[in-house]
Amino acid sequence: MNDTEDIDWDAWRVGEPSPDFVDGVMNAVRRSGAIAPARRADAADARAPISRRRIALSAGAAVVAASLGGYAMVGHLRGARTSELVDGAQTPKDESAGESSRPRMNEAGEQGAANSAHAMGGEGGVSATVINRARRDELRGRLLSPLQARGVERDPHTGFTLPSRSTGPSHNLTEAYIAARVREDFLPLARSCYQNALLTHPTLRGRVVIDFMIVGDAKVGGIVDQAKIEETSDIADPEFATCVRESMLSMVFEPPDNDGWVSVAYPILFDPDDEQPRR
Amino acid sequence: VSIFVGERKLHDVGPGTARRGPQLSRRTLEGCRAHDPDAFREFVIAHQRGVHALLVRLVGRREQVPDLAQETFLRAYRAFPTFDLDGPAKDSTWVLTIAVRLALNERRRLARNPSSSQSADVADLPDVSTPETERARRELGRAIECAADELSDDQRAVFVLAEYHGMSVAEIARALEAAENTVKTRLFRARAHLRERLAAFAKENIR
Repeated sequence: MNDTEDIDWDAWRVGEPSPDFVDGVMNAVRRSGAIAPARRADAADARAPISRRRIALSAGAAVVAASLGGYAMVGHLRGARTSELVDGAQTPKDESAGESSRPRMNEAGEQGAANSAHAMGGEGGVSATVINRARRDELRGRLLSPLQARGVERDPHTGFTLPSRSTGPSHNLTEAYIAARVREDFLPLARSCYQNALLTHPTLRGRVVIDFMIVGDAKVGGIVDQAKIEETSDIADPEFATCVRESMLSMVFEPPDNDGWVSVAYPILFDPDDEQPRR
Repeated sequence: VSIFVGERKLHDVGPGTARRGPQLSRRTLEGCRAHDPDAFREFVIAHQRGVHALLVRLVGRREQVPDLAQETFLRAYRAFPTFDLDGPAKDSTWVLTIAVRLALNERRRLARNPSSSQSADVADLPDVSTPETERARRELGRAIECAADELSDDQRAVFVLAEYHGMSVAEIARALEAAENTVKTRLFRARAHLRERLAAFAKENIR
């Protein structure tokens, strides 16, 4: 072949995106809690008097109790396990009276966070530990930009890619610390994902293992760079999986030391009937 | 669009604006930066075909393509506040940069777990009864796809971005975070390989 021979490169056809692709993206954006209206609502809530916030939290907890009747989550970190009861009996079911509607997808983050705060015993924990998904998405965006600007690259490793400049796995983030962050910031969001999945699949239940990788540095903080649900997980509902994954990607942590990374496998048991953890 | 296969400067083979994706108004892009859902929907509509085509050409016809495409736009949505409307990157180049990095990550993952997802065989594409010319064109498409599949991930990405999306060497270098000379080298080798692999085919199937 020489330069005078031409090739019709467009013969390599690739088809078209699905007709509902655009709607799917927009729904995913809404589920991620990053849409502007949700953010405005959050800001208004943050400015509300304490008494009003307490009412909102109680209402959120009531919605969860009415919808689920409680379910259990069990978690462990890669290499070591911890177990905990995070929901269920801690949710005041007597507050469900008068609640007639289930939460919508784009409200899930707020309500999940509210439930977590209630379980923690008061609004003092709210400001300290519970950040809704939209806020954490914003925070993650601020942290991610400097990382990208400094040229973080990734290489394959156990299903994830690694920062090219990393020095290896970090050990400064303890299992207890990560478990606490997941319990306080992620599980409320995962709970809301499950709530919404139950609306269309009432029998949905099972063990889901979420793998995620924390990267970052001392200047910009730690973010969840990658997250996925392991294929061995029992729940294969794609919307649920996307919701859980997006929720995990919105998490922020303390940065791994020495520009390293931390890889975590966190199994969660979703069951609307059981109040005790199962594995 | 026909493009000559041969050694030449990239801008000589740049397919022009037809391959560079639709141009969105500044007002729309400002809306995207402000996370206006309507503006972002317009952005998705405008670039969905380009992102889809890039992903299919880089990772194959795999079931992960729709998820990767959605992830591309989700990341774009999150990162839009940092997108510089007056910067060197066009919105089309910018979103393709996100997509190509996701695609390369996916190819690395697939390389480690080749059984995790099977790419649809090109022979399994809908076989519509077509005239002889169309049949020959489909065979050419298969030949290009097979030849491109033999490229390294980096060479394949450079080739696809250059030939199918009209990106310049500088744009590709920024997208892949590589030196321009590295991009030129990869493009040279990719073309050399395709020239070799398609030579016999081209002699028999020149349009």
